[in-house]
Amino acid sequence: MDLLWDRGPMEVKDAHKALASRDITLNTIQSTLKRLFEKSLVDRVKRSHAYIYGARTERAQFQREVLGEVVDRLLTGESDVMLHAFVEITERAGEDQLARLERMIALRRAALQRGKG
Amino acid sequence: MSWLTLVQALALTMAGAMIILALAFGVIDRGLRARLTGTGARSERSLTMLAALPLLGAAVFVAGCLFPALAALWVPSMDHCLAHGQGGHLHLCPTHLPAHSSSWVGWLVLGLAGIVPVFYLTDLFRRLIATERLKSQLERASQREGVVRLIEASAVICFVVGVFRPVLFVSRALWEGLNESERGVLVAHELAHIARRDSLREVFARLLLAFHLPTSRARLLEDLSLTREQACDDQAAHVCGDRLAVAQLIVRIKRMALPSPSLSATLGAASISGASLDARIEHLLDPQPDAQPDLRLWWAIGLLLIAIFAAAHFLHHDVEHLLAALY
Repeated sequence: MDLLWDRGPMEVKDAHKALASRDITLNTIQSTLKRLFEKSLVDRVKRSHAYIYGARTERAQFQREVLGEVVDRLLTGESDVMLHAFVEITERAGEDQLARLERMIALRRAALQRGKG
Repeated sequence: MSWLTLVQALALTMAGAMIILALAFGVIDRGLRARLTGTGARSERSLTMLAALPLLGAAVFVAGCLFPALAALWVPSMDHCLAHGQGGHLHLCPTHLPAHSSSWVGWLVLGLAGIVPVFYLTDLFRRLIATERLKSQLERASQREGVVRLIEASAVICFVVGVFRPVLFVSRALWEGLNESERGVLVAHELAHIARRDSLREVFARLLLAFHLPTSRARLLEDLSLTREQACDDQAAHVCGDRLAVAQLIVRIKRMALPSPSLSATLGAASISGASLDARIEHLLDPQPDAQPDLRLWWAIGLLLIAIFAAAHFLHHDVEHLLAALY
């Protein structure tokens, strides 16, 4: 996808040339692009005997969509990744609980200030 | 074939001991839990030791079973194999290897005993790959701002992700909703996770927990997670010099993250109780700077391991008889 975003639409053999330094076979690139087409991530048009592949969406839009999906999965607890969140992502707090905790903190702050005074 | 039989017999002994210890721990873990939570990083060490208990206890039991044979290398009179006769039942002894070939029933039992841990470890491996994939996706879709990577999201989220090279991600909605000092507290807390290598600690703990019952595993994971958060809260409080500021920020961010009615409906199934939020705030309000290193627990674990070793020494003959039924 990075290649298609950077250089625009291209044939499989052009992609193969561009990725020559990564030692990837022509068949691998062909099957990868076919899979991306099946997932509707790239478009293709037939020109002469070869397909020309191009990215269906802009990079920024694609990343926004991916990010949206990732965040949604984190928020709904569907993602089973290991991470350390500042506040537990799937733990819901109620208004009552937050108000009670805020009162506790305010009381402690007041007590500390009285102690200093 | 004899060495293979010995290895199989020792593996069966270890598996049996682990199952018994995991079941025993499942019975007592609720009581232990009440005594251990909320004492900070020291408690994390105790919880990790408890996570290792079935594996460690089983290893000690196997060592206890092998002890007479190993001790006989230095003190020949301790050789129990000669006293019992070599032609009889199987011996857990590397000197007098079993005359029997390994048993297919034994392999079957080992396979059955290993199903749950293998399934769990496979799932852990899948989670590790998913975690690294998430990090790489987010790195591509985020912007660097100092030590923070900002993600364009309206949700209020902030987390560290990545096992070997963890990265701190904050949503722009959260970042722009905080003032400079609040950002400092947030970053201090999350950098503490990175400095403490909490991701690696979690992987290590999850590996040890493979040999626990699912219920005990879930409780220990929850407690370990809470103690890590409390330790990072402590470090953030140390950096900003105000424990109440950390508590206030936690509650403020939780309030910012209160879901809208529509999102609330979506999140319904995913929500859990707010117990860890209460525990973190209470810990910040009532710190335990003199938290004892759970000495009683360490003594209890030490005595338990000695008892397991002694029991293995006395029970090894019965274990050998039990194993002999498979050959």
